[in-house]
Amino acid sequence: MIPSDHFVRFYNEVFKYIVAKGPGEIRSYYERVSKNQEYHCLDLFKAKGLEGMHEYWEHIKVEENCDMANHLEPDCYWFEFFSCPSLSKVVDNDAGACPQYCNHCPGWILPIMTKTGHFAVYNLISRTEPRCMMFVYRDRTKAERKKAELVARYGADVILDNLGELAGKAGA
Amino acid sequence: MKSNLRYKSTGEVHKDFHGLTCATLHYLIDNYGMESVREILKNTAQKVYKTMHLALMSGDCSELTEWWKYYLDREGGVFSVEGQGDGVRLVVRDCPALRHLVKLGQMPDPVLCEATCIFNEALAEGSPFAVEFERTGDFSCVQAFRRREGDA
Repeated sequence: MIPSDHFVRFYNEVFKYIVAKGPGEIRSYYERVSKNQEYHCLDLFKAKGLEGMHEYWEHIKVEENCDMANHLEPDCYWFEFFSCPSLSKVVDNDAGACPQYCNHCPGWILPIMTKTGHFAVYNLISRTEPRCMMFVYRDRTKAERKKAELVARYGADVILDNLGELAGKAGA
Repeated sequence: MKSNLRYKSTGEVHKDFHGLTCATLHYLIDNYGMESVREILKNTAQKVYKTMHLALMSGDCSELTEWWKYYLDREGGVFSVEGQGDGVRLVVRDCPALRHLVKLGQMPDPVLCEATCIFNEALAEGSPFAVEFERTGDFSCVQAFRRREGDA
């Protein structure tokens, strides 16, 4: 048995293997991971929207021992990881980290946000530091404004979003 | 007592990862074949758990023994670990990973057992230990690292 506590180090080896298979391969795996994660949060996000996201990550905060802030505002759900336990374990690892490791979070989260009709902007900050942020809106204009702000501050390479995946409905 | 473990997690346990391990194993088999699972688990066993692998190569089961006890206990497994000559034997009566799959609405999928078997073989590669694995029920198994006859 691979202990739950060590799953992410196995996951990291999976990423190394799939990334080496060629461009585009990893996207299909993220879709499979996202499908798996739907069991845990899709209905909740559909039913409760931003409040459901806050509820989900409150649970994750405790169960995955996360040093994070989890915020619910009237028009935005956002979190900030001060020390992500997942990348922290992958860095503390005799096998070394996959350089694209951090991409898996937006990789599974953004498709779920698209399915629930939310606009999400994910800021990885850096792929070598265990920190990141995500902002989720019902309103496209607000998400676009946040994306522009984050790209200007952190650079486009670490900002991922689903704005291109959703029809441009603002103020839903 | 000094711990031999290279990675010793504390705090809460997020057992839902067993579901993702299972989904990942099936994804790998469906898209890249069983060889991909062998390669990834070999890297996990020999690079991630480098210290445990090197210890086994030198004939030392102590980190493996402690790893089994610590993590099966953390996950709420029903098990016993017995020294067996110069080797070690794990009897799992209720596997927490398979049990959690049921909690997630899935069947106790033997792909997890197959992965454990491949992982154990990779851990023991180049060591004086022969690996044994027997699935004894939907949630139970016996795993052993037995010193090969003639190996000092």
